[in-house]
Amino acid sequence: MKISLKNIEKKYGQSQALWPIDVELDQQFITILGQSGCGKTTLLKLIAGLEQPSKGEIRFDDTVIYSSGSRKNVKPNKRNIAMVFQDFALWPHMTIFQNIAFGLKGIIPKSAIPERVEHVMRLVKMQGYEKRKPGELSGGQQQRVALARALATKPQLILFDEPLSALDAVLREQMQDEIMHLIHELNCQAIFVTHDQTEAMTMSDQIIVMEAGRIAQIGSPEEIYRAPATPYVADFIGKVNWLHNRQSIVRPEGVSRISRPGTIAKQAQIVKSTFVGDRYLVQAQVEGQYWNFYEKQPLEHGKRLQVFIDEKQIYQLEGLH
Amino acid sequence: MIMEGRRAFGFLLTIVIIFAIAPLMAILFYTFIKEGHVDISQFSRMFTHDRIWKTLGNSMVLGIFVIIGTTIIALPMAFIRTKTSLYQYEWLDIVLTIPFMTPPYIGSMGWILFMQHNGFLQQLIPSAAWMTDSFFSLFGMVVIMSLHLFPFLYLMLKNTLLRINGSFLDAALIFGRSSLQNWLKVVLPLLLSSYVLGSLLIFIKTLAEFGTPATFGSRIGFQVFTTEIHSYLSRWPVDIRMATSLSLFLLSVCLVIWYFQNLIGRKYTYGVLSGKTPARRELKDKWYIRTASWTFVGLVLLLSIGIPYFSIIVTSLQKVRGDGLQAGNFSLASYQEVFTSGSAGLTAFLNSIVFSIMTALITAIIGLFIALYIKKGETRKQQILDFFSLMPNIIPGIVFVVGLIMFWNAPWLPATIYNTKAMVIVTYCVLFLPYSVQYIKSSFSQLDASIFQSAAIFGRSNIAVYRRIILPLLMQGILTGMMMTFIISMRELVAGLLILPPSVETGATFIYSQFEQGNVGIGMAVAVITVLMTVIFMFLLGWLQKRGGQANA
Repeated sequence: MKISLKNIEKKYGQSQALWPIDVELDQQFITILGQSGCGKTTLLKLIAGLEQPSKGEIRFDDTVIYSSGSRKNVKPNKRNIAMVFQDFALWPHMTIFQNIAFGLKGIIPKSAIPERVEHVMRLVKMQGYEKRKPGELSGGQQQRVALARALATKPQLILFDEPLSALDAVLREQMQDEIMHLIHELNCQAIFVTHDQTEAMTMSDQIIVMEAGRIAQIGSPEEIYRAPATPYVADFIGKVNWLHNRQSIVRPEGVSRISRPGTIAKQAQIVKSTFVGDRYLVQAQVEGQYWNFYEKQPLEHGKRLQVFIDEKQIYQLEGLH
Repeated sequence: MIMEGRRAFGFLLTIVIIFAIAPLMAILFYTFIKEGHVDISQFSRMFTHDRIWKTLGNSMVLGIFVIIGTTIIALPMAFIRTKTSLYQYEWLDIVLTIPFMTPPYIGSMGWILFMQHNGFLQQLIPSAAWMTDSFFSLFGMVVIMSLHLFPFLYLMLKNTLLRINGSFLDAALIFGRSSLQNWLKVVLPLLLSSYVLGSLLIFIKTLAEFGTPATFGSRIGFQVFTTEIHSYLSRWPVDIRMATSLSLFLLSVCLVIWYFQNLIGRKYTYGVLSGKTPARRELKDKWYIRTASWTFVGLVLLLSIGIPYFSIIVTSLQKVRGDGLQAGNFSLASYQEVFTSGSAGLTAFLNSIVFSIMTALITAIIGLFIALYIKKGETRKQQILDFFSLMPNIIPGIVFVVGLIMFWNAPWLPATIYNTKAMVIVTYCVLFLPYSVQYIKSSFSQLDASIFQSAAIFGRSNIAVYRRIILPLLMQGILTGMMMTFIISMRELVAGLLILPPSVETGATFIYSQFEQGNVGIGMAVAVITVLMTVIFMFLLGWLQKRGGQANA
């Protein structure tokens, strides 16, 4: 499905939460990435229909689901979407079964509901918990149920509002894998809001980086990593080494101590080496900037040496020539 | 720290026992022990009277009708204030608590003056005379009490609705099939527990209420527990044992309801607080929704504030009541009389102020120590103290007053404060200690544990930690508690009627006796001054809480 936003903007009174946005999203797994307050959740809620844009038009394929011009606004429950919330938002007075069945009433025959609930509970590996109430489950289990609730209606699009930020690191990685797996297997689309750039990099086909109510860049994880559109994006995604008066960048893997044809030599003074598991992350001062690169062996603090930069891996930021 | 350890517990428990538990023991003793023997005939005698069953029936019927009445006002109001564009008018909340803060007997007097024969209604609209008879009935009493008590239920419902508003509702919007289904399956069930809790509290408050039954109820011959207890103690033939038996009965009824309330509360209260605070959405209403909302709010304000305040203010300004609403019939004579030095009204009013200030100070100090000991109520001892210090909240004031009279009249006491002004202050302190404890505790619970840990590490001495860190942080709660205590002490009626030493009056008893004697002008002048002061204090309170909110943010 192609999600098109035309001139979508959102104002709260006088303050501009989103500046006019024009995008078409057609990838399967789309991430909206940004720091808190950048408008990423607002954008998600506009797509969900939980908030109304101040202006603009939203289409799912050719169907208009919101248009300020023709005053059209399809209700959230008629958009054939589902949503997973940061705080799970499982209704506390209902059992897990009732929570999932709630969205199914009127969509599938009543007699088919138990089977569907069982099916999605198996998908998220939570069989047997149907009779419990949300308060009796752990955070990770509640998030699985919330995911099951979202899958149950077989929506064409699932919206995720920072769903993993309430979970601990181990559980988070596990859930990342499972969510990706399920989205691909069930062949639906996902828009995933997060502030965690590694999460965005590992999960998505397409990333929207947002900054202060505007879209800073849209692209695949590789594009955004290799060719960041702005200094903000460059700094936000991955580690970055600045050169040429902050006009060009090179990522740590473009820097090494071995001289090869097509490399540029720079003087460096080692600041520190940090063990990161498989290798050492070395921080050094190069032309007054702090640089990062990887080494097999730790380097001594204060040591002066030459580093070599692969010229092909230097990227000059556009619009900054 | 200061308020820890067994000695502190023993000390605080002693205070609470002497002032709060002993009176209840005294009631039990007087009811069941006669000349050193257990004797339940006193208690069972009560049930042979038809009058007691009538009283019980009246109280229950009144309680149920008042629950219905407050629901009719509070439920739509809570929805209007959360679901329509009226949500943005925060001042409405302060205005809507005015009826609750208005002394109930003053509200009733306002309604009596308005509705009675030749009252303001008949003067303004002579054709509405037929309403008088139908108003002076159980219906009128329910109306008056509901208009007084609804803010309490309204605030509870509104807060619950606000909390549900977050992602619980968003999720329902996405997964639900229709808005009706969302309401029935998500909003109402989540609202239900707080509605049940609120309405049971309304029931207890109705049973404990004395002001309205004493003023309005006595005119329509509708006795309830509180007025019966009062009349057994103050009218000839005085029957103390009957009063204590009735008190005990009333106490039991309240405790049973309170028990059920707790049971329901524990079973059906969910964390309706979803993690994210709901983002305020712009709400645009259709014109008819807005018109209907404002009409409803206007009507409620007219009935709960407009009419009673109009009546008492106009009455206090009238020269001759019989001459009605005419130009030239107005003067400040009543106020001049009140403010003549040495006048009965002024003396009574000043007495109230002295008693209230003393009460506010004493309860603030005791409340502070108790709150510091209770902390977050984690250990058994802390919970015990918490329970005892909040007990006066669920037990009707008149029961405590009766108990205090019995206790301080006990023949074995070497000395007694009975029949002195100190007795009044002690009584007020017992009745209103929960307010100060609650406010200070809630201030305390907002402080993170890290504040105490950092204070313990960086503080030079315990005293310094308390004086420089903890007291300033709790100050807002202490001040709020003191103001609340002051406001409700100023209006306390039944304690004054039963325990004031001869020839001493408070503002409340003065207003009451002037009204009963038909000397309305001066009584209402004191009433106007009292409510004026209450309203000023309320806005101060609102301001203080707002300021505190900003400081914490």
